[in-house]
Amino acid sequence: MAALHRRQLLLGAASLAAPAVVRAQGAGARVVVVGGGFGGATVARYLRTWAPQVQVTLVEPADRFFTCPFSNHYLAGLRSWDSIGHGYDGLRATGVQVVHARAEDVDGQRRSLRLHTGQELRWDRLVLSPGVDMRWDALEGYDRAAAELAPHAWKAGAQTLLLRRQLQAMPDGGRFVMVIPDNPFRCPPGPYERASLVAHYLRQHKPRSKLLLLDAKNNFSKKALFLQGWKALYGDMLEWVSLAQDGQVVRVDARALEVETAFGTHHRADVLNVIPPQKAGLIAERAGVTDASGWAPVRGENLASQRVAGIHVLGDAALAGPIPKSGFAANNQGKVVAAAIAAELSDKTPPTAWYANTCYSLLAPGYGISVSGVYRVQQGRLADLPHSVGVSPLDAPAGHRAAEANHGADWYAAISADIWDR
Amino acid sequence: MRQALTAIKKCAPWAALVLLLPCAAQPLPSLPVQDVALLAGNCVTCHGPGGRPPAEASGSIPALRGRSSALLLERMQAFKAGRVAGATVMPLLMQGYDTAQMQALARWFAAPPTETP
Repeated sequence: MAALHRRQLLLGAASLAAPAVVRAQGAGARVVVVGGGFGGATVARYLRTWAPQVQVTLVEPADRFFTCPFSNHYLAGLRSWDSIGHGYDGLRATGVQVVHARAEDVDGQRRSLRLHTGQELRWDRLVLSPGVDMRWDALEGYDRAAAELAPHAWKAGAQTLLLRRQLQAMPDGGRFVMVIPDNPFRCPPGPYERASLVAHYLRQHKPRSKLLLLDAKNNFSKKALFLQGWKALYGDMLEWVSLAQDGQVVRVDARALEVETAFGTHHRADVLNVIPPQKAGLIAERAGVTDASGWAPVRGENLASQRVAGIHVLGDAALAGPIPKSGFAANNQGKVVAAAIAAELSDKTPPTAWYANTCYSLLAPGYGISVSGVYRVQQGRLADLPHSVGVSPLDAPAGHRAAEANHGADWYAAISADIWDR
Repeated sequence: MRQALTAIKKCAPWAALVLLLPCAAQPLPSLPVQDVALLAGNCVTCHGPGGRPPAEASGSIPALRGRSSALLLERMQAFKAGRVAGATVMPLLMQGYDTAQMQALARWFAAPPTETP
């Protein structure tokens, strides 16, 4: 901070003609944000609102960001691809400098970020919101080449489009097999929503087909609600196999579209969707903010890295205690990071971090369920507020499920507007 | 009702014994404005930027902006106490906010301060 202040003073003396706001405390401070998704784009936008004197650069390779939330709706034919894509003009209009490049390396000593173009960006604060990368070494036979045959579709993009084409090409009477990892991974209820909406699509278009879900765990987010909904909506079309029932897949043969479980059972698929174990996006590793788990430990009050000074990590890449790896959580974390940096750069007291989360899942059109929670820092650790964490009731009337289906769609519109303007 | 009493007892232990005065009647120390801005950030993720749902939304999640602070506070307290029939996520979420926070949020969405954290 002291060095920053000296630099500010120098800058202030050299730029007397600058408008008053530029000479305010923190003027000229540079914040570089890596990742234009739910976390990073939120930080960039809210920093421009809360600290307009700070220069904000957002580094994101894609011109348009396609969201994982609602990509399952696209897979089921319930949404257009374009409707889940978001551009950066709205962020540019707030004064964020958007650089479409890939972040390649971080020097925490020199406080610089190197892009794939060779360009170096210097920063006073670096924010990493890189999402997840697949652990290509974690599941035998499942590497990048295998993902072109058996897509994960766990980053919205070409993989999602590929899985949609495969579903469309699948014969009626075929078998859709999904491989689901152990915790933690991006979007804990995501695989089960996907299974629901693929089942909906198949029921509509290929009703003799079956779904087999092979899971590396015995419990999952909103499990009782999903099981109840599946039974009511899809009957024996959809089968979930837990870890205890030999659901853990240990080997993938993507060419043969076949998987092998821990107990040696072989399952063959017509469409094989392998969601492998994950870790923080590569740039987090390059920056040295990750630990042996592959995720980035952070301080609950401001999501500052526990390992490298001057760097904040948020969203799916962060180890944020009980807060789920969701788009909603990343958006709320983005506001905490923006407020903390804005306060630090102007020597104000940072606000008290407070995080909410709601994840809606759609089991079929008009049938939605949710999980919610509120989180704060207690005794130095992130913890949930008593009685705030819970899910939709079991056996709820159809009107409740319909309301939550509508809430899910309205949540998506609201969070998209909050981050990208649309 | 037991939940409602518990909520009231928390903010003013004697109120439950007297006339079940609503918490709104008890002025609490106000929160720093930057804390309120951050709390409001929790709400807009569903209710839309500034508490206004975007044009694309169907209206299933209501606007917060443009309502009186008294109405907003009453509504939050009713959610927290489990007194809203047909409610979905709000009874859970409101467990995460105390009366001072709810009062501050009600004032914020009725008339947000221009100051920022």
